[in-house]
Amino acid sequence: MRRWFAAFLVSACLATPLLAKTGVALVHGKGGADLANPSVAWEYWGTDMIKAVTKNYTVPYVVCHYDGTKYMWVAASQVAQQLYDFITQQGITDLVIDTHSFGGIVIRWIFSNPTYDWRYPTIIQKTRWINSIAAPQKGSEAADLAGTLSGSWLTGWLVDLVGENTDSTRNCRTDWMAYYNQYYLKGTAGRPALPKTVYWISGWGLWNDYWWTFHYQDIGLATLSGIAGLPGEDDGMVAEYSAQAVGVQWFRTEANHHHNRRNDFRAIGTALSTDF
Amino acid sequence: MKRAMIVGFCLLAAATFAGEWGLLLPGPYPGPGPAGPEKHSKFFVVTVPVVGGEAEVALPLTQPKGAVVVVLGDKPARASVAGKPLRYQKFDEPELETMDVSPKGVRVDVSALPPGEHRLRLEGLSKPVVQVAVNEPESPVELSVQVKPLAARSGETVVVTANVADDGPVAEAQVVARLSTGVRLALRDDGQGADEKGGDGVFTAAFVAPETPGMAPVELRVEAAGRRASGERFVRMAPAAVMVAKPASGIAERGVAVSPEALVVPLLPASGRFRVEVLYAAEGQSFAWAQEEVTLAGEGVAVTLPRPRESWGADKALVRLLNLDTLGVEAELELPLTPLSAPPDFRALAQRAPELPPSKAEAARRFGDRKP
Repeated sequence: MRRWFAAFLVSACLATPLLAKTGVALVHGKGGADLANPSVAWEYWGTDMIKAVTKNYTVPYVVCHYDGTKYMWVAASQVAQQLYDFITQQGITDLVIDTHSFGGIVIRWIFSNPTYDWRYPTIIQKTRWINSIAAPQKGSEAADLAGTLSGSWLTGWLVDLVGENTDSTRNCRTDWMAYYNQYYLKGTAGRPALPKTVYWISGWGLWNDYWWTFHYQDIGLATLSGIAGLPGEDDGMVAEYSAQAVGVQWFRTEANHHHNRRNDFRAIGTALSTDF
Repeated sequence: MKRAMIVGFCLLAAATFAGEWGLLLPGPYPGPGPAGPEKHSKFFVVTVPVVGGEAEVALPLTQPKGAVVVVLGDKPARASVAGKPLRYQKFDEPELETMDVSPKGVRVDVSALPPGEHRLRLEGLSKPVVQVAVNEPESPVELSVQVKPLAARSGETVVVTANVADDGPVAEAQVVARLSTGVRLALRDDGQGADEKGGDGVFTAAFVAPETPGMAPVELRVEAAGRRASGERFVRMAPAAVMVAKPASGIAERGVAVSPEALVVPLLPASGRFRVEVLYAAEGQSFAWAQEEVTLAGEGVAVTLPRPRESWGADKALVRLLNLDTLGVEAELELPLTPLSAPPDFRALAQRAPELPPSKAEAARRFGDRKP
């Protein structure tokens, strides 16, 4: 009897990993309200990237889509529903979450505040780990610049011509992230650890394919980097010190902020697919 | 034995109410009301109206070499200073829109200009207003700004400090802060009011955090303008923010009761969801924490947070009351503690580098780039 019981325990232990169902979720960064549209969110990453991450669509996946103008907790609510549905409807027990830019902040909100929303504990429990590409964990000086340029500081008719910042841009300012890091988010020095490991990828390149194709675009990112005074190395939008503030180093890439969510200048998607 | 039973009971009770506790990622102890991040700026922006497709922008440049000068939101057909055309590059990067920065613009090369004030003439503009943003990374003129505290309650005093650094004494400087509330503050360096010492180059002003529903930020744009010892004009700008909360609850006057087993934090009557968080520290390092959440419906409550055994080496604790509905900070309180044991080895904790799983280590070798 004792032998049968031992055999049962051994087989149960061996079977558990085999029964695990793996899935991958992609969580995009900030942008327009139209990112709540699934096709716009798909284009954010590009088909090549999604195909690479999912190993030619053989790994079950969900491409999350949320209004890219909202605060992290509003975006997290939209993302949580999609992750929860993916997990429960597909029976996912081993979820890898890949995030880009502000998507890393949205996910960190979920993992820092498990009691904030009834769907969060399920997501946290079923997640293996998070890969965070170029997340502005300590904010971005580019968002600070946007605040300085906005119409808030102008008077009269000039206000309407310059425009205002969205909630997500405010969320990404260095003061705002300092506040949330200090009081509401986990994972930075002096704060509680996150319940699951974050592996970061940070970018340091600017002039990626300037000499071949998108040179107008690379001039734009390099200009933003120069005008915003991003400290140290950066990918045109997020300084490396900020992207590296939470989690464990995975690797640094020369791909700039435009390319480090795609599988073109560097094979970022292929790198992410090595988790499966 | 009795103590062990009490601790065990407290831990069990805390688990029932979804409390959390444990060791922290070691970091500097923030204390109550920590300051916001210090901003360093060699940047300024000029916004001018466009008349007949043309605009003239006054640019006080202290170090044109290496300066980045950008016309945002428009693409002028010609850029010139004193009749001499300047080279420029157009850009169009949709990615910039994700940070609410205009995706179109022109980068103007001013590297051949001498330091001093220049009038940049832009022609062929299509918008009724133009913004010219300038960053001078190689200039010694730098504005530093800091706001304290980062999180304030309505009615509390917020102090703004600014410093203008140069490679020598600054001949003349005026520093103002524009607040999103519409208030304009003049920062002073005369030893009066909030300014601690006159003539030390540190400009200071204070304002009272306004009444606000729940939690709302007060944003600031600090602007410094003046003359260097050499007579050249300069302008610098830096943003900052303070998060202001109007407390719904608070920590009752009788204060926090401390025992080796637990902290009991009495909350004032209120409605809503609240989190009580305790950070334990020794030798200026935070190293352990505990938190508990409660939902109140008009009543007050005494929240019990079990002290993790790891916290027994602490010489102080920082108690925070957070409002989960407004995301404001309702109260912060520092408590002196008598250490009950030696604190943990922070250096060993901080140096414990986690290892990558083998698949990730291999991927890092294959896909990572090393900056030359």
